[in-house]
Amino acid sequence: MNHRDMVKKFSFSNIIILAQLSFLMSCGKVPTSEPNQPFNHFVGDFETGNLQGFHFLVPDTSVNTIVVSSPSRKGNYSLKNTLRPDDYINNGYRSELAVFNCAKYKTEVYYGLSFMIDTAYSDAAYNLLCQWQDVPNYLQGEDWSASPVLHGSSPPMHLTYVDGALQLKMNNNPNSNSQNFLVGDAQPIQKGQWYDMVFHVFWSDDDKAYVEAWLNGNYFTPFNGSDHKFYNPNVFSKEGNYFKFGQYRGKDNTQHTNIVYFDEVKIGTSYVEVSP
Amino acid sequence: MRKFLITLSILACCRLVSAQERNDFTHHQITVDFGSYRNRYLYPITDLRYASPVLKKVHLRFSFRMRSYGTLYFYSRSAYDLTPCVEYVFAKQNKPIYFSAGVGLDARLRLVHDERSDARSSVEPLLSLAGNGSYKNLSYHLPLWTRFYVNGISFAILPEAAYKIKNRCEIFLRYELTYMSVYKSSAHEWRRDCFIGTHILL
Repeated sequence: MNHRDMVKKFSFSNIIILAQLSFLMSCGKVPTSEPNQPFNHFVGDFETGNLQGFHFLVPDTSVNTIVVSSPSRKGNYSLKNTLRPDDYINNGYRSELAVFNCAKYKTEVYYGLSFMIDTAYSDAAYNLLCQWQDVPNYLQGEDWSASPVLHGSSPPMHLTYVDGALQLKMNNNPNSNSQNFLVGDAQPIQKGQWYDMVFHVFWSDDDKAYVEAWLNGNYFTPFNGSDHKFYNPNVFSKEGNYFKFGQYRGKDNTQHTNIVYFDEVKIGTSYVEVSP
Repeated sequence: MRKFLITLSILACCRLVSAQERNDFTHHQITVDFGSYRNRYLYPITDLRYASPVLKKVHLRFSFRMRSYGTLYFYSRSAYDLTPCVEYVFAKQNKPIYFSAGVGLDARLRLVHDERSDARSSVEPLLSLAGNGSYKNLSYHLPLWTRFYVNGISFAILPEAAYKIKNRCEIFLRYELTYMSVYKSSAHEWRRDCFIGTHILL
């Protein structure tokens, strides 16, 4: 073998090794969500006087989401959430604040929030006070701006104020906005009073998923024979959900401007951590 | 005279080609397909694929697939999968049943810069084993793709049934069933996608 052949062979083998190395270095992770991923603990008690940490789904923050000093459930401030008849944004009539990375696949999470329906609230039709909606499966190429938008549905779980009562509802069909079903019974609530909700959720796409909820410290979900956990799948994909609260009325706008106050919005790993 | 001869030779070639049975052994193939009913919901995905004829001396076929996510119009601002592949075909001509095996790359381009997204662009090696064949106006392909990741592996079976509607054109349905497994946490996921499309032989 002459010098030229040796150089050629050496170069060729080096190129092969480099190619293999770059090949291995560039490999990514399997595009699926792993269970028990850490999630964001969250405190939204509005005591800073601002709305830092929230994502806004509102037409006008200076009107729809204002931090006020009265009324407040605890501390000095709360959120005054206003939904006007023409507040249409992101394919629906809404005035909502969102928190992401807090409802991941196969995680156990507690959520707490306090709310008060304003005494002047005047519509009887449904209004979602909080919901856990699915997110695009980013790992598998999805995002929010799909065109055409084919995937529109009710969220896997939501808390609704309708006709003077509070309802916890779920949806198992990611292609439907009309197959929601009630968890337990609707409970009448009064305008002008603070109510404390706590949710304990295990997020999963199988029968191990559950929700357990309390209203003012009393169970809101029905007794199942051994505890108050309502078992039902609550994610559409392994990407999980995100949390949002405020007012959401889908495609049905309000006849009047309605106000709901919120306080002590918390996300954590225990009842004590999130209850007001 | 020269122009006439060129035109004559082109016509002769065209006549020769049209007289042959068109198949993916002898002709370039362009594929366009649309999906998908993904797991339990609709999500728009498009595929654009080119496959070369089988090269006679080396029995190799080259292909390149571009998958666009979130669109039915090929141009995506969110994500693409680019999949070049070279396959060795264990047959000299189109047969009722033949097999192929190949290697390729699966380049996942994730263009969404969003704090809510953990998705990153990457390139994975891909092994392909496929059964293929045809009967009268029907043809079928049954590839099994194995992708290797730093923390796991995935297997995808992509059965496809095509029907020849014209000499140059087939319509087909394809189902993609993917099993993804993470070694360390034993996490796994099944993903299902469905597509409808057309093969055009050039």
